[in-house]
Amino acid sequence: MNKTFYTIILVTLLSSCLDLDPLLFNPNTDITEYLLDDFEREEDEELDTYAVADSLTTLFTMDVGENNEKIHAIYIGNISNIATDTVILYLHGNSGHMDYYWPRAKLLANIGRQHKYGVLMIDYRGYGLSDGLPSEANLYEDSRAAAQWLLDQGLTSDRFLIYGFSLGGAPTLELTANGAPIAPTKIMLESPFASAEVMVQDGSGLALPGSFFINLQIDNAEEVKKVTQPLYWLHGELDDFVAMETHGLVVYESHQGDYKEAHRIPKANHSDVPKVMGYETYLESLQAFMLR
Amino acid sequence: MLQQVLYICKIVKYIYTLLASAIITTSACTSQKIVKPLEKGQQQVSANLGGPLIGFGGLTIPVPLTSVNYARGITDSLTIHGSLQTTSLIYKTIQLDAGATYGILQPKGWKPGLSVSGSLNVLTDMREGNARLYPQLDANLYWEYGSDNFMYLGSTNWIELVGTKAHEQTQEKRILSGIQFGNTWVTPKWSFTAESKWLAPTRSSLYSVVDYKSYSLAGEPRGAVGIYFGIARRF
Repeated sequence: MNKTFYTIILVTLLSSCLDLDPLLFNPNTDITEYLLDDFEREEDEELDTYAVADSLTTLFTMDVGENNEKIHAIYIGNISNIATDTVILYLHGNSGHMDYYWPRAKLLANIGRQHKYGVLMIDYRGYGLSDGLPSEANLYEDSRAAAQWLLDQGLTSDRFLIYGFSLGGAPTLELTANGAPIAPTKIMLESPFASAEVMVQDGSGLALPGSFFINLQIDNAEEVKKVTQPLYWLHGELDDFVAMETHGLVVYESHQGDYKEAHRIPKANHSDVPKVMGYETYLESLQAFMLR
Repeated sequence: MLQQVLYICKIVKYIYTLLASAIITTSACTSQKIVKPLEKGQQQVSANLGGPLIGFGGLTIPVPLTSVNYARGITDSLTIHGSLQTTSLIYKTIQLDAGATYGILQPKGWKPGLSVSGSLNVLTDMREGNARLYPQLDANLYWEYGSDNFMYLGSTNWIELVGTKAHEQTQEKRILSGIQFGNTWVTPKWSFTAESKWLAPTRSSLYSVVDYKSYSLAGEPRGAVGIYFGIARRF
Protein backbone atom coordinates (compact mmCIF):
# COMPACT_ATOMS: atom_id res chain seq x y z
CA MET A 1 0.00 0.00 0.00
CA ASN A 2 2.77 2.40 1.04
CA LYS A 3 4.82 1.54 -2.01
CA THR A 4 1.84 2.22 -4.27
CA PHE A 5 1.17 5.52 -2.53
CA TYR A 6 4.75 6.72 -2.92
CA THR A 7 4.81 5.62 -6.53
CA ILE A 8 1.67 7.64 -7.28
CA ILE A 9 3.10 10.69 -5.51
CA LEU A 10 6.41 10.44 -7.33
CA VAL A 11 4.88 9.89 -10.74
CA THR A 12 2.49 12.78 -10.19
CA LEU A 13 5.24 15.12 -9.08
CA LEU A 14 7.75 14.13 -11.73
CA SER A 15 5.20 14.22 -14.51
CA SER A 16 4.57 17.83 -13.59
CA CYS A 17 8.18 18.49 -14.63
CA LEU A 18 6.78 18.58 -18.14
CA ASP A 19 5.35 21.98 -17.36
CA LEU A 20 7.78 24.48 -15.90
CA ASP A 21 5.34 27.31 -15.27
CA PRO A 22 5.36 26.90 -11.47
CA LEU A 23 9.04 27.80 -11.61
CA LEU A 24 8.28 31.45 -12.02
CA PHE A 25 6.62 31.56 -8.63
CA ASN A 26 8.63 31.51 -5.44
CA PRO A 27 6.19 31.55 -2.52
CA ASN A 28 6.89 30.65 1.08
CA THR A 29 4.21 28.76 2.96
CA ASP A 30 6.24 27.74 6.02
CA ILE A 31 4.23 29.85 8.43
CA THR A 32 1.30 29.27 10.73
CA GLU A 33 0.50 32.95 11.29
CA TYR A 34 1.53 36.37 10.04
CA LEU A 35 4.05 37.91 12.42
CA LEU A 36 4.32 41.36 10.79
CA ASP A 37 6.72 43.40 12.97
CA ASP A 38 7.89 40.25 14.76
CA PHE A 39 8.87 38.50 11.54
CA GLU A 40 12.62 37.90 11.33
CA ARG A 41 14.01 39.93 8.47
CA GLU A 42 17.07 42.02 7.78
CA GLU A 43 17.28 44.78 10.39
CA ASP A 44 16.80 48.31 9.16
CA GLU A 45 16.46 50.72 12.07
CA GLU A 46 15.59 53.63 9.81
CA LEU A 47 12.66 51.69 8.42
CA ASP A 48 11.39 51.02 11.95
CA THR A 49 10.51 54.70 12.28
CA TYR A 50 7.71 54.24 9.74
CA ALA A 51 5.22 52.60 12.06
CA VAL A 52 1.51 52.01 11.84
CA ALA A 53 -1.01 51.74 14.66
CA ASP A 54 -1.94 48.22 15.71
CA SER A 55 -5.53 49.39 16.03
CA LEU A 56 -5.52 50.32 12.34
CA THR A 57 -4.06 47.03 11.13
CA THR A 58 -6.63 44.44 10.12
CA LEU A 59 -5.84 40.92 8.98
CA PHE A 60 -8.69 39.20 7.19
CA THR A 61 -9.50 36.72 4.44
CA MET A 62 -11.53 36.84 1.28
CA ASP A 63 -12.95 34.04 -0.84
CA VAL A 64 -11.72 33.75 -4.41
CA GLY A 65 -12.27 31.46 -7.38
CA GLU A 66 -14.89 28.87 -8.14
CA ASN A 67 -13.93 26.80 -5.12
CA ASN A 68 -14.09 29.72 -2.70
CA GLU A 69 -10.45 29.38 -1.72
CA LYS A 70 -9.32 31.77 0.98
CA ILE A 71 -6.64 34.35 0.45
CA HIS A 72 -5.24 36.43 3.26
CA ALA A 73 -5.10 40.20 3.29
CA ILE A 74 -3.97 43.08 5.48
CA TYR A 75 -5.61 46.47 5.49
CA ILE A 76 -3.72 49.35 7.08
CA GLY A 77 -6.16 52.12 7.92
CA ASN A 78 -9.71 52.47 9.07
CA ILE A 79 -11.86 50.12 7.02
CA SER A 80 -14.98 52.09 7.83
CA ASN A 81 -13.39 55.15 6.20
CA ILE A 82 -12.62 53.51 2.86
CA ALA A 83 -15.71 55.20 1.41
CA THR A 84 -13.94 58.53 1.85
CA ASP A 85 -10.22 57.70 2.05
CA THR A 86 -7.69 57.33 -0.75
CA VAL A 87 -6.39 53.76 -0.89
CA ILE A 88 -3.31 52.11 -2.39
CA LEU A 89 -3.53 48.45 -3.37
CA TYR A 90 -0.01 47.06 -2.89
CA LEU A 91 0.66 44.01 -5.07
CA HIS A 92 3.79 42.36 -3.80
CA GLY A 93 6.63 40.54 -5.53
CA ASN A 94 7.44 36.93 -6.16
CA SER A 95 9.24 35.90 -2.98
CA GLY A 96 7.80 34.70 0.27
CA HIS A 97 4.58 36.14 1.62
CA MET A 98 3.14 39.29 3.18
CA ASP A 99 5.49 39.27 6.17
CA TYR A 100 8.38 39.89 3.76
CA TYR A 101 6.62 42.96 2.35
CA TRP A 102 5.13 44.28 5.57
CA PRO A 103 7.76 47.07 5.93
CA ARG A 104 6.97 48.17 2.35
CA ALA A 105 3.24 48.34 3.07
CA LYS A 106 3.94 50.35 6.22
CA LEU A 107 6.05 52.75 4.21
CA LEU A 108 3.15 53.40 1.86
CA ALA A 109 0.92 53.97 4.88
CA ASN A 110 3.28 56.80 5.81
CA ILE A 111 3.09 58.74 2.56
CA GLY A 112 2.29 62.33 3.49
CA ARG A 113 1.84 61.43 7.11
CA GLN A 114 0.98 58.32 9.09
CA HIS A 115 -2.29 56.79 7.88
CA LYS A 116 -2.99 59.55 5.37
CA TYR A 117 -3.73 56.79 2.85
CA GLY A 118 -5.16 53.34 3.37
CA VAL A 119 -3.08 50.41 2.14
CA LEU A 120 -4.38 46.98 1.16
CA MET A 121 -1.97 44.07 0.65
CA ILE A 122 -2.87 40.48 -0.23
CA ASP A 123 -1.13 37.14 -0.42
CA TYR A 124 -1.92 35.58 -3.79
CA ARG A 125 -3.04 31.98 -3.82
CA GLY A 126 -0.18 29.70 -2.83
CA TYR A 127 1.62 32.44 -0.89
CA GLY A 128 1.82 32.54 2.90
CA LEU A 129 -1.39 31.25 4.44
CA SER A 130 -3.49 31.68 1.32
CA ASP A 131 -5.08 28.54 -0.09
CA GLY A 132 -4.40 27.07 -3.50
CA LEU A 133 -1.49 27.21 -5.88
CA PRO A 134 0.17 30.16 -7.57
CA SER A 135 -0.58 30.66 -11.23
CA GLU A 136 -0.86 33.51 -13.67
CA ALA A 137 -4.67 33.26 -13.71
CA ASN A 138 -4.83 33.19 -9.92
CA LEU A 139 -2.53 36.19 -9.67
CA TYR A 140 -5.02 38.22 -11.69
CA GLU A 141 -8.13 36.79 -10.08
CA ASP A 142 -6.85 37.40 -6.56
CA SER A 143 -5.86 40.98 -7.35
CA ARG A 144 -9.24 41.51 -8.95
CA ALA A 145 -10.88 40.20 -5.77
CA ALA A 146 -8.90 42.72 -3.75
CA ALA A 147 -10.14 45.54 -5.99
CA GLN A 148 -13.69 44.20 -5.69
CA TRP A 149 -13.38 44.18 -1.90
CA LEU A 150 -12.35 47.84 -1.93
CA LEU A 151 -15.25 48.65 -4.22
CA ASP A 152 -17.58 46.87 -1.82
CA GLN A 153 -16.29 49.08 0.99
CA GLY A 154 -17.27 52.18 -0.98
CA LEU A 155 -14.02 53.11 -2.70
CA THR A 156 -14.31 55.05 -5.94
CA SER A 157 -11.93 55.18 -8.88
CA ASP A 158 -10.71 58.69 -8.22
CA ARG A 159 -9.36 57.59 -4.83
CA PHE A 160 -7.86 54.27 -5.92
CA LEU A 161 -4.19 53.66 -6.82
CA ILE A 162 -2.25 50.46 -7.45
CA TYR A 163 1.40 49.94 -6.60
CA GLY A 164 3.02 46.85 -8.14
CA PHE A 165 6.45 45.64 -7.10
CA SER A 166 8.33 43.30 -9.46
CA LEU A 167 5.96 40.39 -10.17
CA GLY A 168 3.18 42.57 -8.73
CA GLY A 169 3.55 44.73 -11.82
CA ALA A 170 1.83 42.01 -13.86
CA PRO A 171 -1.53 42.08 -12.01
CA THR A 172 -1.24 45.85 -11.70
CA LEU A 173 -1.11 46.18 -15.47
CA GLU A 174 -3.58 43.40 -16.20
CA LEU A 175 -6.20 44.98 -13.93
CA THR A 176 -5.58 48.46 -15.24
CA ALA A 177 -5.43 47.47 -18.90
CA ASN A 178 -8.26 44.98 -19.04
CA GLY A 179 -10.82 46.36 -16.66
CA ALA A 180 -10.72 46.01 -12.90
CA PRO A 181 -13.90 46.07 -10.79
CA ILE A 182 -12.71 49.55 -9.98
CA ALA A 183 -10.23 51.31 -12.27
CA PRO A 184 -7.25 52.94 -10.59
CA THR A 185 -6.70 56.62 -11.14
CA LYS A 186 -2.90 56.19 -11.22
CA ILE A 187 -0.45 53.32 -11.08
CA MET A 188 3.03 52.92 -9.67
CA LEU A 189 5.47 50.25 -10.85
CA GLU A 190 8.67 49.39 -9.02
CA SER A 191 11.20 47.15 -10.81
CA PRO A 192 8.69 45.56 -13.21
CA PHE A 193 9.77 42.91 -15.70
CA ALA A 194 8.90 43.31 -19.36
CA SER A 195 7.96 39.71 -20.12
CA ALA A 196 9.05 36.14 -19.55
CA GLU A 197 10.48 36.21 -23.07
CA VAL A 198 12.92 38.95 -22.11
CA MET A 199 13.99 36.85 -19.13
CA VAL A 200 14.85 33.99 -21.47
CA GLN A 201 16.63 36.27 -23.92
CA ASP A 202 18.60 38.02 -21.21
CA GLY A 203 19.74 34.69 -19.83
CA SER A 204 20.67 33.09 -23.12
CA GLY A 205 22.04 36.07 -25.02
CA LEU A 206 19.98 34.87 -27.99
CA ALA A 207 16.60 35.91 -29.41
CA LEU A 208 14.86 32.75 -28.19
CA PRO A 209 11.05 32.73 -28.07
CA GLY A 210 9.51 32.66 -24.59
CA SER A 211 7.55 29.56 -25.59
CA PHE A 212 10.83 27.60 -25.45
CA PHE A 213 10.50 28.05 -21.72
CA ILE A 214 6.96 28.37 -20.43
CA ASN A 215 3.28 28.76 -21.26
CA LEU A 216 2.91 31.97 -19.30
CA GLN A 217 1.47 34.85 -21.27
CA ILE A 218 2.54 37.60 -18.87
CA ASP A 219 3.60 40.47 -21.09
CA ASN A 220 3.78 43.73 -19.18
CA ALA A 221 5.37 45.61 -22.05
CA GLU A 222 2.28 44.89 -24.16
CA GLU A 223 -0.33 45.37 -21.43
CA VAL A 224 1.03 48.79 -20.49
CA LYS A 225 0.27 50.01 -24.01
CA LYS A 226 -3.44 49.86 -23.13
CA VAL A 227 -2.97 51.90 -19.96
CA THR A 228 -3.95 55.56 -20.10
CA GLN A 229 -3.63 56.31 -16.39
CA PRO A 230 -0.56 58.27 -15.22
CA LEU A 231 2.43 56.00 -14.55
CA TYR A 232 5.10 56.33 -11.91
CA TRP A 233 8.04 54.02 -12.62
CA LEU A 234 11.11 53.47 -10.50
CA HIS A 235 13.90 50.97 -11.03
CA GLY A 236 17.38 50.35 -9.66
CA GLU A 237 20.10 50.93 -12.22
CA LEU A 238 22.07 48.00 -10.78
CA ASP A 239 19.15 45.57 -10.75
CA ASP A 240 20.85 42.25 -11.39
CA PHE A 241 17.65 40.21 -11.49
CA VAL A 242 15.25 42.27 -13.59
CA ALA A 243 17.63 44.45 -15.58
CA MET A 244 16.47 48.05 -15.85
CA GLU A 245 17.39 48.55 -19.50
CA THR A 246 15.77 45.41 -20.90
CA HIS A 247 12.78 45.23 -18.57
CA GLY A 248 11.64 48.33 -16.68
CA LEU A 249 12.67 50.82 -19.31
CA VAL A 250 10.83 48.85 -22.00
CA VAL A 251 7.65 48.91 -19.90
CA TYR A 252 8.05 52.62 -19.22
CA GLU A 253 8.66 53.49 -22.86
CA SER A 254 5.67 51.40 -23.97
CA HIS A 255 3.24 53.41 -21.84
CA GLN A 256 1.03 55.50 -24.12
CA GLY A 257 -0.76 57.61 -21.53
CA ASP A 258 -0.56 61.39 -21.24
CA TYR A 259 1.62 61.43 -18.16
CA LYS A 260 4.45 59.28 -16.88
CA GLU A 261 7.52 59.81 -14.79
CA ALA A 262 10.68 57.75 -14.53
CA HIS A 263 12.93 57.37 -11.53
CA ARG A 264 16.17 55.54 -12.28
CA ILE A 265 17.91 54.99 -9.00
CA PRO A 266 21.72 54.81 -9.20
CA LYS A 267 23.36 52.11 -7.07
CA ALA A 268 20.02 50.42 -6.32
CA ASN A 269 19.45 46.73 -6.97
CA HIS A 270 16.15 44.88 -7.34
CA SER A 271 14.74 45.04 -3.83
CA ASP A 272 16.41 48.04 -2.22
CA VAL A 273 15.19 50.96 -4.30
CA PRO A 274 13.41 52.86 -1.48
CA LYS A 275 16.36 52.32 0.86
CA VAL A 276 18.97 53.52 -1.63
CA MET A 277 16.74 56.38 -2.73
CA GLY A 278 16.26 57.37 0.91
CA TYR A 279 12.93 56.65 2.55
CA GLU A 280 11.96 60.30 2.93
CA THR A 281 12.85 61.07 -0.68
CA TYR A 282 10.92 58.00 -1.78
CA LEU A 283 7.80 58.97 0.17
CA GLU A 284 7.95 62.60 -0.93
CA SER A 285 8.33 61.52 -4.54
CA LEU A 286 5.29 59.25 -4.32
CA GLN A 287 3.30 61.94 -2.55
CA ALA A 288 4.11 64.44 -5.30
CA PHE A 289 2.94 61.98 -7.95
CA MET A 290 -0.26 61.16 -6.11
CA LEU A 291 -1.17 64.80 -5.60
CA ARG A 292 -0.35 66.10 -9.07
CA MET B 1 4.72 10.18 5.76
CA LEU B 2 3.90 13.89 5.39
CA GLN B 3 7.55 14.70 6.07
CA GLN B 4 8.62 12.35 3.30
CA VAL B 5 6.15 13.86 0.85
CA LEU B 6 7.36 17.38 1.74
CA TYR B 7 10.94 16.21 1.23
CA ILE B 8 10.04 14.87 -2.22
CA CYS B 9 8.33 18.19 -3.00
CA LYS B 10 11.52 20.06 -2.07
CA ILE B 11 13.60 17.80 -4.29
CA VAL B 12 11.19 18.35 -7.16
CA LYS B 13 11.40 22.12 -6.59
CA TYR B 14 15.20 21.89 -6.85
CA ILE B 15 14.82 19.90 -10.06
CA TYR B 16 12.47 22.59 -11.35
CA THR B 17 15.00 25.30 -10.57
CA LEU B 18 17.79 23.41 -12.29
CA LEU B 19 15.61 22.86 -15.32
CA ALA B 20 14.72 26.54 -15.43
CA SER B 21 18.40 27.34 -15.58
CA ALA B 22 18.86 24.61 -18.13
CA ILE B 23 16.35 25.98 -20.61
CA ILE B 24 17.85 29.42 -20.42
CA THR B 25 21.40 28.22 -20.81
CA THR B 26 21.03 25.12 -22.89
CA SER B 27 21.06 26.49 -26.38
CA ALA B 28 24.67 27.38 -26.95
CA CYS B 29 26.14 25.76 -23.88
CA THR B 30 27.09 22.41 -25.30
CA SER B 31 30.41 20.65 -25.49
CA GLN B 32 32.42 19.94 -28.64
CA LYS B 33 31.05 17.04 -30.67
CA ILE B 34 34.08 16.04 -32.74
CA VAL B 35 37.51 17.62 -32.36
CA LYS B 36 39.71 15.00 -34.01
CA PRO B 37 38.11 13.51 -37.16
CA LEU B 38 37.30 9.80 -37.04
CA GLU B 39 38.90 7.34 -39.42
CA LYS B 40 37.08 6.51 -42.61
CA GLY B 41 34.14 4.18 -41.90
CA GLN B 42 34.49 4.53 -38.15
CA GLN B 43 31.36 5.26 -36.14
CA GLN B 44 30.99 6.77 -32.71
CA VAL B 45 28.14 7.03 -30.25
CA SER B 46 28.60 9.35 -27.30
CA ALA B 47 26.80 10.91 -24.39
CA ASN B 48 27.63 14.21 -22.72
CA LEU B 49 26.77 15.70 -19.37
CA GLY B 50 27.49 19.19 -18.15
CA GLY B 51 26.77 22.84 -18.57
CA PRO B 52 27.43 26.32 -17.28
CA LEU B 53 28.27 26.81 -13.63
CA ILE B 54 25.52 28.50 -11.65
CA GLY B 55 24.90 29.41 -8.04
CA PHE B 56 22.40 26.94 -6.65
CA GLY B 57 21.40 26.48 -3.02
CA GLY B 58 24.60 28.12 -1.83
CA LEU B 59 26.72 25.88 -4.05
CA THR B 60 28.31 26.31 -7.45
CA ILE B 61 27.27 23.47 -9.73
CA PRO B 62 27.11 22.83 -13.47
CA VAL B 63 23.65 22.81 -15.02
CA PRO B 64 23.11 19.12 -15.81
CA LEU B 65 22.55 19.33 -19.55
CA THR B 66 22.69 16.04 -21.39
CA SER B 67 22.99 15.06 -25.02
CA VAL B 68 23.44 11.96 -27.14
CA ASN B 69 25.53 12.12 -30.30
CA TYR B 70 26.36 10.06 -33.35
CA ALA B 71 29.34 10.54 -35.67
CA ARG B 72 30.68 8.73 -38.74
CA GLY B 73 33.97 9.11 -40.56
CA ILE B 74 33.34 9.74 -44.27
CA THR B 75 37.03 10.05 -45.05
CA ASP B 76 40.02 10.18 -42.74
CA SER B 77 39.60 13.95 -42.70
CA LEU B 78 35.84 14.39 -42.82
CA THR B 79 33.41 13.31 -40.10
CA ILE B 80 29.70 13.98 -40.07
CA HIS B 81 27.81 14.15 -36.80
CA GLY B 82 24.42 14.78 -35.25
CA SER B 83 23.09 15.30 -31.72
CA LEU B 84 19.95 15.44 -29.68
CA GLN B 85 19.82 17.55 -26.52
CA THR B 86 17.98 15.23 -24.16
CA THR B 87 17.52 17.62 -21.22
CA SER B 88 15.52 20.09 -23.27
CA LEU B 89 12.98 17.39 -24.12
CA ILE B 90 11.85 17.48 -20.49
CA TYR B 91 10.59 21.01 -20.89
CA LYS B 92 9.04 20.41 -24.28
CA THR B 93 11.75 21.86 -26.47
CA ILE B 94 13.45 19.81 -29.17
CA GLN B 95 17.03 20.72 -29.94
CA LEU B 96 18.88 18.90 -32.70
CA ASP B 97 22.07 19.62 -34.54
CA ALA B 98 23.82 18.16 -37.54
CA GLY B 99 27.13 19.06 -39.08
CA ALA B 100 30.57 18.04 -40.21
CA THR B 101 34.12 18.33 -38.93
CA TYR B 102 37.04 18.61 -41.33
CA GLY B 103 40.66 18.05 -40.41
CA ILE B 104 42.75 20.77 -42.05
CA LEU B 105 46.08 19.95 -40.46
CA GLN B 106 47.30 16.66 -39.05
CA PRO B 107 49.22 16.87 -35.79
CA LYS B 108 52.96 16.18 -36.00
CA GLY B 109 55.00 16.03 -32.85
CA TRP B 110 54.52 19.29 -30.97
CA LYS B 111 52.70 20.84 -33.93
CA PRO B 112 48.96 20.70 -33.31
CA GLY B 113 46.30 19.39 -35.61
CA LEU B 114 43.59 21.79 -36.73
CA SER B 115 39.95 20.94 -37.37
CA VAL B 116 36.99 23.10 -38.28
CA SER B 117 33.32 22.25 -37.81
CA GLY B 118 30.14 23.60 -39.27
CA SER B 119 26.77 22.68 -37.78
CA LEU B 120 23.17 23.67 -37.95
CA ASN B 121 21.23 23.77 -34.68
CA VAL B 122 17.47 23.48 -34.84
CA LEU B 123 15.28 24.32 -31.83
CA THR B 124 11.53 24.05 -31.74
CA ASP B 125 9.08 24.00 -28.88
CA MET B 126 6.08 21.73 -28.50
CA ARG B 127 3.89 24.53 -27.08
CA GLU B 128 3.48 27.01 -29.90
CA GLY B 129 5.68 25.46 -32.55
CA ASN B 130 8.13 28.34 -32.59
CA ALA B 131 11.45 27.45 -34.15
CA ARG B 132 14.93 28.87 -34.40
CA LEU B 133 17.89 27.96 -36.59
CA TYR B 134 21.43 28.65 -35.45
CA PRO B 135 24.45 28.03 -37.68
CA GLN B 136 27.52 27.14 -35.64
CA LEU B 137 31.16 27.42 -36.63
CA ASP B 138 33.90 25.89 -34.49
CA ALA B 139 37.67 25.52 -34.80
CA ASN B 140 39.99 23.51 -32.60
CA LEU B 141 43.71 22.99 -32.28
CA TYR B 142 44.60 19.61 -30.79
CA TRP B 143 47.78 18.01 -29.57
CA GLU B 144 48.22 14.26 -29.44
CA TYR B 145 50.13 12.58 -26.64
CA GLY B 146 50.53 9.07 -25.28
CA SER B 147 48.95 6.51 -27.55
CA ASP B 148 45.90 8.32 -28.92
CA ASN B 149 45.05 10.83 -26.20
CA PHE B 150 44.74 14.45 -27.16
CA MET B 151 44.10 17.83 -25.61
CA TYR B 152 42.46 20.67 -27.43
CA LEU B 153 41.89 24.39 -27.43
CA GLY B 154 39.39 26.12 -29.65
CA SER B 155 36.58 28.51 -30.30
CA THR B 156 32.86 27.98 -30.81
CA ASN B 157 30.53 30.48 -32.45
CA TRP B 158 26.74 30.52 -32.66
CA ILE B 159 25.25 32.88 -35.21
CA GLU B 160 21.97 34.62 -34.38
CA LEU B 161 19.94 35.04 -37.55
CA VAL B 162 17.08 36.93 -35.89
CA GLY B 163 17.72 40.65 -35.63
CA THR B 164 14.79 41.57 -33.40
CA LYS B 165 14.15 40.42 -29.86
CA ALA B 166 11.00 40.70 -27.78
CA HIS B 167 9.22 44.07 -27.80
CA GLU B 168 10.97 45.17 -30.99
CA GLN B 169 14.32 45.42 -29.25
CA THR B 170 17.35 45.02 -31.49
CA GLN B 171 19.47 41.90 -31.11
CA GLU B 172 22.73 43.81 -31.27
CA LYS B 173 25.19 40.98 -30.81
CA ARG B 174 24.71 38.46 -33.59
CA ILE B 175 27.54 36.09 -32.72
CA LEU B 176 27.70 34.21 -29.43
CA SER B 177 31.29 33.05 -29.05
CA GLY B 178 33.07 30.87 -26.59
CA ILE B 179 36.50 29.41 -26.02
CA GLN B 180 37.04 25.89 -24.85
CA PHE B 181 39.81 23.59 -23.79
CA GLY B 182 39.59 19.93 -23.01
CA ASN B 183 41.26 16.60 -22.88
CA THR B 184 40.25 13.26 -24.34
CA TRP B 185 41.59 9.97 -23.02
CA VAL B 186 41.38 7.26 -25.65
CA THR B 187 41.28 3.48 -25.25
CA PRO B 188 40.89 1.04 -28.15
CA LYS B 189 37.09 1.26 -28.06
CA TRP B 190 36.19 3.96 -25.59
CA SER B 191 37.12 7.55 -25.02
CA PHE B 192 36.47 9.93 -22.15
CA THR B 193 36.46 13.70 -22.40
CA ALA B 194 36.57 16.53 -19.89
CA GLU B 195 36.06 20.03 -21.22
CA SER B 196 35.71 23.54 -19.91
CA LYS B 197 34.18 26.33 -21.92
CA TRP B 198 34.01 30.06 -21.34
CA LEU B 199 30.92 31.16 -23.20
CA ALA B 200 30.42 34.80 -24.23
CA PRO B 201 33.56 36.03 -22.46
CA THR B 202 33.03 39.58 -23.67
CA ARG B 203 29.44 39.90 -22.48
CA SER B 204 28.63 41.13 -19.00
CA SER B 205 26.60 38.65 -16.97
CA LEU B 206 26.13 41.08 -14.10
CA TYR B 207 22.49 41.70 -14.95
CA SER B 208 21.60 38.19 -16.03
CA VAL B 209 18.59 36.50 -14.49
CA VAL B 210 20.68 33.34 -14.14
CA ASP B 211 23.37 33.42 -11.44
CA TYR B 212 26.23 32.42 -13.72
CA LYS B 213 29.60 31.80 -12.11
CA SER B 214 32.30 33.09 -14.36
CA TYR B 215 35.52 35.03 -14.69
CA SER B 216 35.52 38.78 -14.32
CA LEU B 217 36.98 41.38 -16.62
CA ALA B 218 37.14 45.06 -15.69
CA GLY B 219 35.31 44.30 -12.46
CA GLU B 220 32.30 42.62 -14.06
CA PRO B 221 31.49 38.93 -14.41
CA ARG B 222 31.59 37.95 -18.06
CA GLY B 223 29.61 35.24 -19.78
CA ALA B 224 29.39 31.79 -18.28
CA VAL B 225 31.94 29.09 -17.56
CA GLY B 226 30.84 25.54 -18.14
CA ILE B 227 32.27 22.10 -17.49
CA TYR B 228 31.37 18.99 -19.43
CA PHE B 229 32.07 15.30 -19.36
CA GLY B 230 31.66 12.90 -22.24
CA ILE B 231 31.90 9.20 -22.86
CA ALA B 232 32.13 7.73 -26.36
CA ARG B 233 32.14 4.25 -27.89
CA ARG B 234 33.63 3.71 -31.33
CA PHE B 235 32.66 0.96 -33.74
